[in-house]
Parts: sequence; structure tokens; C-alpha cells
Amino acid sequence: MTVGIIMLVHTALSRAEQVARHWSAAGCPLVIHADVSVPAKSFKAFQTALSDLPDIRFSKRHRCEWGTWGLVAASQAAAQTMLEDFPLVRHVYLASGSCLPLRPVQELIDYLADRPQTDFIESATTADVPWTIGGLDSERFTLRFPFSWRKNRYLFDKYVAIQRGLGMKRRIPGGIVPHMGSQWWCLTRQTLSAILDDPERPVYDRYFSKVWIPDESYFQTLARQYSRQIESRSLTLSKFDYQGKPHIFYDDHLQLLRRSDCFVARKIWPQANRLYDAFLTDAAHAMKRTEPNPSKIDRIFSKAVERRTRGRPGLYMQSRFPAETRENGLTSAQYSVFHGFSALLKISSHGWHGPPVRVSMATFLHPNGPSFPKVRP
Amino acid sequence: MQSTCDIHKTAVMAYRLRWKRRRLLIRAFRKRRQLKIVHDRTQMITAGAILCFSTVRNEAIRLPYFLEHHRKLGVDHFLFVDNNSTDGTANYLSQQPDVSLWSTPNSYRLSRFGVDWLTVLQARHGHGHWCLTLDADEILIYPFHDTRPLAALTEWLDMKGIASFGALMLDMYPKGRLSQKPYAPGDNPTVALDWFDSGNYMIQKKNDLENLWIQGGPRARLFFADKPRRAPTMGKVPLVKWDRRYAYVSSTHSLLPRRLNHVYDESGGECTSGVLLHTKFLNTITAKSAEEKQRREHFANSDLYEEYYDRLVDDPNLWCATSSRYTGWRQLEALGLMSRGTWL
Repeated sequence: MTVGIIMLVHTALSRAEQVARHWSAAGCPLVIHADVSVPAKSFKAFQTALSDLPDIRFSKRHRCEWGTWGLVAASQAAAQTMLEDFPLVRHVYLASGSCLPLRPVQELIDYLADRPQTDFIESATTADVPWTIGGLDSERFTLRFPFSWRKNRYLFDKYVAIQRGLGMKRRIPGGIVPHMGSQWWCLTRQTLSAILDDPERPVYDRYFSKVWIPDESYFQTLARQYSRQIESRSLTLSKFDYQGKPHIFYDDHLQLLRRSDCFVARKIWPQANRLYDAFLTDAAHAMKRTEPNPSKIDRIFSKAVERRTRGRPGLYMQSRFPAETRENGLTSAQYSVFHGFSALLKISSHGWHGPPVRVSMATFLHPNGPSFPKVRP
Repeated sequence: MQSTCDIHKTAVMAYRLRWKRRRLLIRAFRKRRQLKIVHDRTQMITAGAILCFSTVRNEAIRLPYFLEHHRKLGVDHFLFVDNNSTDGTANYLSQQPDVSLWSTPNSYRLSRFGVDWLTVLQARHGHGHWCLTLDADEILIYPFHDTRPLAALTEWLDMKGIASFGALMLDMYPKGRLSQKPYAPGDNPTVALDWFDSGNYMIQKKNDLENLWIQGGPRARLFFADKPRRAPTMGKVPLVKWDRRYAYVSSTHSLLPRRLNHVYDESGGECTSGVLLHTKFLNTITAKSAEEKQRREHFANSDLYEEYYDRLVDDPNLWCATSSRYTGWRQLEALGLMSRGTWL
């Protein structure tokens, strides 16, 4: 029994080839899906370059635009090929061309062999998770999204507004409860073939093809129907910023990735030579047999989000200029300096007519510099 | 809620700026014949190449390190305009394998300090490329620049749909009189110029172009203490995904269309930004200042700057007790002089 790898690739094919060889060297059968947008010439070259690998297939090519059904169709086609052509595969791992295995592949194989019935797929209801971007959570499943968010943002937004205005709602096919999660899953043969061979599949496919970002919900929802045991987490370390864009890993993330103990990470910058060298050629990397623990590095990512969205209080610079009331904490306020006794006497005799103030008497003109008395707020 | 009056004002401003941008482009176009090609290697520019544009005059001393640093960051091609150099700058540049060189004998001042010439070249060669526009005394650094080349940054900006990248110009200076720190061509200038001002910056938002107007640093502190609003401008937008309809307005401090000046966050967060290490104060500055004062080719109102040049000719010490010693980008980021934003 072994693990089959589905790879969805669209750019940086030489890196994809390198990683494919790495999987293959550990005995994993591969099914590769190349986006339709990959030019025929590059695809041919890519195919030829990998032709010496023993267990490799190329599945029917779909157009995989972000947020559209194409990604699910591609995964379905590749999974079908995997299950039919490689009967020894017990777990199927969905990866992309920019995924990088961080631990020896054998560790992943052993890990999954110890858990033969478990599906690893992040899968939560909209009520459970607050991480959707752009205000579309439960509406993903009840509105229709025929227009591309990337290419036709105007039509996309308008059509959403019209449906909201008219109170239009789609009926969710009977028996399923929409779940969402990372699109990088690892499913057992049982669960996956149950999803693909379900007689109701045409109904589900028709429904999900109009759902917003179906690759984050199709398998995540249907796995709940059939799985005997779900671990709602992804074995692939992937991090997203506050706008839902993936964080990219560079050479300087080497230690951070090691510390995560995750099996696979995405997405890796194609030119991060040091990462590819370290994780793909370092055979001596000790077998750790530890649980993946992405939360060890979570703090760094949440700090980044905080810096991007809240910034450092009091800081004004070329890339932070908070509008009034948006400072997220003030470190100073407007102040006046009255110099000399006459100015102070004038105020004390006429009274102060400005905004409420906290008076702080200080000595400015002293050889050792100004000194302020301690004021309690 | 915006009032009708505000909307009206915004529309009028947008219209005016559109014409201003067109005027700048026409103005540059009319100067195209002032540029004579010396060495054309532009056929080497491939799709997606990162380009660097610069106008230079007698920068033979700075150029070796300037080229080395920015090559290492991953600039693929340099496009220089040489304005009457007499120190072998032109010769040196035309020998470089990744440099295309133009020359012009015309006035630097009348070309808006070289910007018109660069606008011509940017429209011709920069369209669709990430373009870095620098002076020879500026060294670009940004968070992680020692481990991530420029392509990592520009690809990330592309993914985020961001077309421009802001930087603070940071005056670097030595401790002691300016003339006393030796510098040889090719040396890292931050060894000789290892001090900077970390905190005395004034900042405001310009109404028309909506760029941030930052002033401060040692020059403001020493030469413009009594007229701080005259102090040099330190905010720049040096890296832009270029389009042939774009134009820099004044040096690289601001450009049109003005959305490209929005390199800052106004809701309290921090955008990713860098720093231009300004190596103006190498030991050659005193001689150069005397010459610049004679040429009167800098700044619109050269008279104002006479005193400034006199002070520099006097070989001053820019260092003070609150100066900070430069140790690298992490220090500048911790001090809030640049930010990694969400790029980590």
C-alpha cells in the first residue's frame, strides 16, 4: 500500500519536475494535471522530461482559474486516473507544483500507513470559522457566481448585489451540509471513490459548479458524507495573509519550515534554491516521527497580519500614515508650550478658554535640559 | 459621506492632473532628440526584466558599487543618461555588459533634473516592466533584501495587485568631517558613511498628488534649522510597474497618475516599504558642492541653496550625539524607517 500524489501545475514546470522526481523516488505513483494555459510546447517538453518515471500519468487538462470549478474538475479527473491506474494506492494526496515536501517522503508514507482509515481534510461549517475574505461566507453556497471575480469584478459584484436585492437563494441539494477548508487534502481510496462514484454526483457537481471557490468546499463537504474518520486539518502547511493571498516561502524561511514539522509546504517561490536544495537533496535529514505542528510558527504569521492591519502605534512613515481616528493608539497629543512668567500669569488671571488640558509644570531653561514632574493620569 | 462639493472638487483635480500628466509626457517627448545613443544593448531586455533608469554626471566613483549592489538585487538591465561627465563615467558605463547608455550635453535643470530624459526612455523601454529609477548616490534596500532578490518582491507585488513601492531616502554620513573618511570606487559606502538620523522626520500628505511629503535628517537639522519647510524631500517612489502613460513629477518623489503615490496605509496598518541609502556625503562632496554652486543646475531656485553649498564646502561634521550607527535593514525596520508589511 502506498500514497498517490496528484500534482496540479501551471507555472515553474522545472520545479514541478524536480518535486515529481522526489515523490517518485520514494515510490509514490503520480498523476499530474497541467493547466490548459500551459503552452503546448512547454507541456510536451515537461511530459518528455518525466517520461522515464515508472508510475506517472497526465490527466485531462482543464482551465484552473482561481475560484472557479475548473480546479475541482481537474482534481476529479486526476483522482479518477489515480484510483483506476494504481490499485495499490490507499491514500491520495493533492498537491500543487509549488508544494515542497519538508520531511522524507517515507515518513509521510509511514504516517498514513499507521492511519489507514483517516481522511486528512480541513472541513468546517461557515458557522465554525471566521476566516472567509470579502464578506462571502454562507452566501458562497446560496448565491450563483457565473462571472469571474478576477476578470469581471464589476459583473461579479453587481450580480451578487442583484441576487441579494431580490432575495434569490439557491437550494442546497438534500442531505449535504456545506463545509469549507484548505483545498490541499489527503483522502483515503474509500472516501475518494465514494465521492467520485456517487450516483448523486451529477447533482452535486451541478450545484458546486456555481458555488464561489468550490475547490475549498466540494471535497470538504462531500468527505463528510462518506468518511469514517476525518481529521479536520491539512497535512500541507499553507498560510494566507489578511486578503486571502497565500504567503510565499523564501530561502530565509528554511528554519521556520523545519520547525513546523509539517510534511509539505506551499507555496514555495520557484527561485528559492536554498529551500529546494535543503529539502529535496538532504537525505540525511533525521527521521523525526513527530506530529506536524504548524501552530509552532503561527505566531509569526499572526504578528505579520497585525503589523499589516494595525501597524505600530505612534508610527508615521512612508508606508504608514493613519488618517485621524485610525491611529490604533496614540503615543502623543497636541501640546502648547508657554514660555516665561508673563504668559503663564496672563493665563492664570484670565482663565484658560481652550480645550481641557493637563497642565504640566516643567523647567525648560536649565543647563541640564528640561525636567518634567511626574504626572499621574 | 462626501458632499457634492467634495465630489466636484475631486473631479476637477483629477481632470487637472490628467492634463498635467499629458503635459509632462509631451514635454519629455519633445526632448527626445536631446538624447544621443552611445551604447545600445536594449535588445537584451527580455519580457519581465527588471530595469533601472538613472541620469548621471561625474559619478565614476559611485558607479562600481551602485552597479554591483543593484545587480546583486537582480536588476537585469541599466539605462543611463550621461549628462556631460568628464571623469570617465561614459567610458566606464559603455563597457558594462548590462548597460545601455545615452548622452546629452543639454541642461539638467531644463530637463527637470533629468526626469524628462528618463521619461522618454521609460516610455520607450519600460512599458510593462518593473522599473527602478535612482540617482547614482542612492542604494535601494528593502526588508529581506539580503536573501530575496528584487524579483521576489516584484512578483509578490504583482500578486497583490500593487504597482508601486515607496522608500524613504536616508542620508548617510560619517562621524567627523566629511572629507576625512576615505572611499575607493567599489567599496560599500555604508562602511565610510555608517551613521544616520533615526527619528527627526516630519511628514504630511500633499493635497494634490496625495504623496507623502517627508522632510528631515541631517540636512534639515543642520542647514535648514531656521526654515525647515525648505529642507530636502526624503520620500520617494523609486520602484514602479511601468506603463508608457506614467510620468514622474518631481524627481522620484511623486508621479502621475497619483494612485501610484499611494504607497502608504491610511487605516493604521503598514504597507511594505524600503529605504534608499543616500551616499551623497562621501568625501568628494566638498569639491562637488563648490562645482554645483558654480553650475547652478540644481533646484528651481538655486539662490536658496547657495548657503547650503557654502556650508558643505566648509567640510562640516553632520554627526551628533543622537545619530544612529547603521547595522542593516533589520535595524531600520525596527526603528520604523521601513516596514515588511505583510511580506514575511
